[in-house]
Order: sequence, then C-alpha cells, then structure tokens
Amino acid sequence: MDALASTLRGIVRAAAPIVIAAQGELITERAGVINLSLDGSIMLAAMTAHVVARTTGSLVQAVLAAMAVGAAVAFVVVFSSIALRLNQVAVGFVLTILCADLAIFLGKPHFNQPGREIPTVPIPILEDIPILGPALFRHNILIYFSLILVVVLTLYLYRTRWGLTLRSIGEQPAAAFVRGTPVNPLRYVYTLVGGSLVGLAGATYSLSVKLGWKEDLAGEGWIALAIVIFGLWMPWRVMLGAYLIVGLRSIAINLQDSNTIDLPAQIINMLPWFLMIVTLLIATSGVLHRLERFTPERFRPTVHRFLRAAPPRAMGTTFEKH
Amino acid sequence: MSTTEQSSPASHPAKPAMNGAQGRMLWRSFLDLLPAMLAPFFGIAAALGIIFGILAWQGADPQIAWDYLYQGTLADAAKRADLVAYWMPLAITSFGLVLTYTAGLWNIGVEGQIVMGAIGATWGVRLFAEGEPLLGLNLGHTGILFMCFVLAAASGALWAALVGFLKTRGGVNEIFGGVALNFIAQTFNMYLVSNGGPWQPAGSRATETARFPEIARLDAFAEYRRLSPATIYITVGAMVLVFLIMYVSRWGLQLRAMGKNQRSAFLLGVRTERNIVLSLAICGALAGIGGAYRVMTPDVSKLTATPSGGVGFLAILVVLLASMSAVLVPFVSFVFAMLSKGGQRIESGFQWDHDLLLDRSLVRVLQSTIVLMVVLAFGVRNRFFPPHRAQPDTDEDEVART
Repeated sequence: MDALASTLRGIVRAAAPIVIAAQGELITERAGVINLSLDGSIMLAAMTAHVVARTTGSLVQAVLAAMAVGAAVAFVVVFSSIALRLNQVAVGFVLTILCADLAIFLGKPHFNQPGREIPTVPIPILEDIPILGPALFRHNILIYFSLILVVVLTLYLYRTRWGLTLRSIGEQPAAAFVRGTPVNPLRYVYTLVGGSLVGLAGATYSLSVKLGWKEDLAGEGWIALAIVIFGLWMPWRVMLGAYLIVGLRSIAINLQDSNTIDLPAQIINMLPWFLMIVTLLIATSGVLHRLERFTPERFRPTVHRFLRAAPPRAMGTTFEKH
Repeated sequence: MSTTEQSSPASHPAKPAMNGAQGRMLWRSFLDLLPAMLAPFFGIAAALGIIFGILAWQGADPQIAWDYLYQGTLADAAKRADLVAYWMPLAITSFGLVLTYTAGLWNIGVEGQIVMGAIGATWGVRLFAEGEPLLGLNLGHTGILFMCFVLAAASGALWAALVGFLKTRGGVNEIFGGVALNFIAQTFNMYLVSNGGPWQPAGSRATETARFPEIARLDAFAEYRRLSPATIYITVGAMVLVFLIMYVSRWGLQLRAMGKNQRSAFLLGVRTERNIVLSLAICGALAGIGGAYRVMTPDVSKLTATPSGGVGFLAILVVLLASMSAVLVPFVSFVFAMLSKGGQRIESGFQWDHDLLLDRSLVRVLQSTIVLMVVLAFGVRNRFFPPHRAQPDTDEDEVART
C-alpha cells in the first residue's frame, strides 16, 4: 500500500512540470499559435528561478521571474508571427536553441549549486485518505496547481463563452473575426498566458522536482510538446499522457536499477515518441473511420467521442484582415 | 533588368522622357533592394551588439575573444585543416536541408538522420570489417569505406523518407514526425552503445563502440591527421549535386514552386507527394553521410553516445540564415563551424590566461542570436519597407481601409 502510494505520489510530482508546460502549450496551440520554443524556455525559466531564489531568497520572486521569462519568449514568437508575419516555426525553433544555450551559459556559475525548495503543504483531512491522500494531497503549491490547472482549463475551454472564443480563433479565425472577435489581440493574450505557464513549468523543475539547476532538462520541453499531441489538444488527456510517460519512465529507472528483467530502458524511453506518432496517425488518417465500422453500434458514439480529434485547424497560420 | 533593355528600342522617339522614367525605376528598385540588403547587416550588428554586451558584463574584452577565436581556428595550417574537417558534416547536412526548405518542408528530423547515418556507417564497419565479413566478402579498404558511406546514406535516406511517408500518407506534420524520429534515433543509438548494448565492447563501461579496425579507417592527410581527402571529394560532389538540382534542373524548379504554394504546384502537374518524399530522402542521404563523417573522422573512428553533437540543428540555423540559398550555405556554414570550433579555445583561453569563466556555450548563443536577429530584421523589412510590386495590387487599398 505504502509503496503504491509513494510511487503514485512520485509520478504526480515528477509529471507536474510536464503537465503545466503541456497545458500552456495547449492553450497556445488552441489559439492557433505554435510555440516551438518550449524546450529552451523551460530551461531558461528553470535557470532563472534557481538563480533568483538563490540571490534574493524569495521563492515568490523566483516563480514570477520564471513566468516572466516564459512570457517574454512567447511574446517574441507571437509578435514576430502577427506583427512581422514571420514563420512561427522558424522563430520558435531559433528561440528554443537560443534559450537553451543562454540558460547553459548564464547558469554556469550556479550549476550544481544547492537549490531552494518550495515547502510541502499537506492538505489536512484529505491527506489521510488511503493511497489517494498521500498521492494527491501531500505536495507543494506548484504541484497542486498542476492538478487544479487541468480542471480549470477543461471547464474554461468547454463550459465558458471565452473558452469557445479561444477554440474558435484556433479553428476558424476568419469566422470568429466576422463575429466580432478580436483574433490577433486574443492570440497575443493566450500565447503570453501559455508562455508564462511554460515558465512556471521551468520553476517547478528547479524549485521542486529537480532541485537546483542542471543541464539535463534538455528534451523535457519536446516531451511536453509530444504530449500535447498525444493528448490531442484536450487538457484531461494531456494530463493522463504526462502521467503515463512519467510513470513509464520511473518503471524504466527501476528496471535499470533492479537488473532482474533484461528489458532495455531505452525501449521505454522511445515509447512517448511512438505513442505520439501512432496517435497522430490515428487522428489524422482515415484509420479512425475504419475502426468505428468494426465497433458495435452501441459503443460507436463513445468510441467516436474518445478518438475523434484533430489539431486546431488554423494552428501555425497567421490571420490577416482582408 | 531585362525588361528595361527590351523596352528601350521600341520607345525610340520619346527617349529622353523614357530615360527619366528608367532612372526613376532604377532608383526605385534600388530603394526596394536597400532594406533587403541592409537587413542582414542590421541583424548581425544587433547580434554582435548583444554579444559584446554579454562580454562586457562578464568582464571580457571582445578583442581578446576574437584573438582566441582566430588562434583556435585559422592561425595555422593544422588548425585550418581541423576546421575544415569540422565544417564538412555541417556543410553537407546544410546542402541537403536547402532542398527540403526550398520545397517548404521543415526537416527538423535532420538530427535523427545524422544519427542514423552514423549508425549505418558503423553497421557497415561491423558487417564488412569486424570478425567474419558478410557473405565472406573481402572488400578491401576502399570497398569497406564505400559500403560504409552507402549504408550511411541509405539509413539517413530511409529515416527521412519515413518522415515523408508519415506526412504524405498519414497526415503527420513533418515537424512532429521529425522530432519524434529524432528522439527515437538518439535513443536507439544509446541502446546500441550503453549498458551492455549489442555494440558496446564486452566489459567496457564507456558509452561508445570499440575503435574501428585499421582497415575501416579513413585515410588522413599525412600532415593533418583529422582531415581526410575522401570526405572533401564527397562534400564537393554533394555541393555540385545540390547546385545542379537547384539552379539547372527542372526538379529544382518544381521544389521552388512547391515552396511558394504547394497546392498550385500540384494543380500545375507537379507530383508533390513524390517530391516531398524524394527531397526528404536526398536530404536524409546527405545528412547520413554527414553522420558518417562524424564517426569516421580519422581521430574518432567509433560510434559515440552523441554522434551528431547538435550538427543537425546547427545546420537548420545555417539554412535559415542563408535564406535557403545554396550559394550562401558554404560561407555561412563555414563561419558557424569557425564559431563552434573557436568556442573551445575562447573558453580555455579566458580560463587560463585571465582566470575568467566564459563557457563555450557563448558561441552557440551568438550563432542563434545572429539567426534570430537576421530573421527578425527581414520581418521588419517585409512589414515596414515592403518591396514595391511592378503592378500595384489591391492589397494596399485594403490595408489602408482597415
């Protein structure tokens, strides 16, 4: 029992930054902007949070600084896309490399220094629930945030008018514009919100999950990007995807340590990427329809609702009034 | 240019007036070109300004940094030979990327294609040079090396074609497919050489293969042990190939058309799906050869944990900075190779002589800052100094009204 609870707790904890970053990217992509700078911004934000926490001693300032870094990088992406009409992918790609190298360069003096940790705040009564209590309610505030974010974002996207607007500017910006939606200003807003969440994910790494600043964060942002796709741009599924990947990763590490089963850990490391490709293949090719034909009539709507999804149609395009 | 030459004989009687008009047109086209010509300079100046700012903040003299850079790369013949050896994988990969970027394909999977090329080359060594050769073939030195390069090119091409098929048949965007295949290739490489993987020598704890046997090593120049003539020939051959495709062949024109507008290229009879896969495959083959260089360079001669060393992403930066021009790629990639190579000397120089910690990642910051600034400068140019069109289209009125 205890072992299970602590494993689950570890997964919720370790997946928190990926969940936050992926939700941030989800918001951005739902608004029709691809922020490819994810990987670099997470590193730069993590480094910033660590350094600010060490120099000022204030965890609040550290978190805010990290979010500002993420938002600033996102601003460059959205500004160059909307105002300068540049390719989002090009700018995002250059930024991801720039930010990663900048983080390594600026963070060198603070490399492997002891980091500050955000204190754990167990939630009084809830933490005594067997298994779920320790797994979900014995964390620090950033980990709680990763859980709340998913709920809030799901409600926002599917149950509010603003959420509908957000989805519409990523699907049919022209139609949204005709109905009086300020498409480009909203894209700025949502990209900045998404970027600050990516920054927050960086802070979650350096202040909680992987205390301190190490350079081994490279790749985490790409995984978050893969999970957004694996989750087919839906907050719940993105969260489950993050838990799945992190869970598999911890299994891989355990296997490597135990040496009892001769399964190369690399196969598990490849899994997120296989899953991503397979999910995309199912979602974008005609496989889904063929699959539905074989399912019994009764389950067809359920299967359809579970598997049906497509990338936001206007993702990566710029919208201009004509 | 050609239109003015053609129009002048026809308008003989009104020559003086036409001259004025021609002058205005020339002046106007000069004004049009000016921002385009100045944009890269502004971009590079801005990037250098940022780097000088960082250097000043760290207390390092830019002049000294440049001196170290020069010492580490160009100061003597041996250094220059090392630089050329370092430059070639980057150059050949960038040449490949010119094709895909011209066709409007974001081949971000090039990093994985390099890794697969490196694996392919090592596989060739293992098949033909280590232990009992495949089918008892004794290919000899040249034959083995040839097979290594062929296998490297084939592996890279297959890996890239996979991105193409995922895109054309599965509807998977080449960026997402490429990123995934990058990580799969890197993880596969890790599996081969680490933790008792099949290619790690028994009893070794180093994450690399054994050094290749003597027969499977590239010959180096007598005085420059890192530079091999074979790689120079292949790189020049690749350069000629890409130049021919881009500037002579019809196929290059098709790629350009696809890059401008894939739908209308398709409607005009271009076989876009085939061209997507084919251009990716050629790019992958060249990247694979680049990967083969990385493992077969005479002083390496083994498959390491990170055979690509970031060359693929650097090549993407090169191609972005060169605006996909095959003519500019050799120069831009050379400057980037110089920066990458010189970074080590800058770091060690400042550490030993000036007791200053200046990490070599600074040069990579400089590389991506230059690309970002130049890309942004072109964006500013297109937005605020738009080139005048021969026929004013309705766009401007519309913009003015809204």
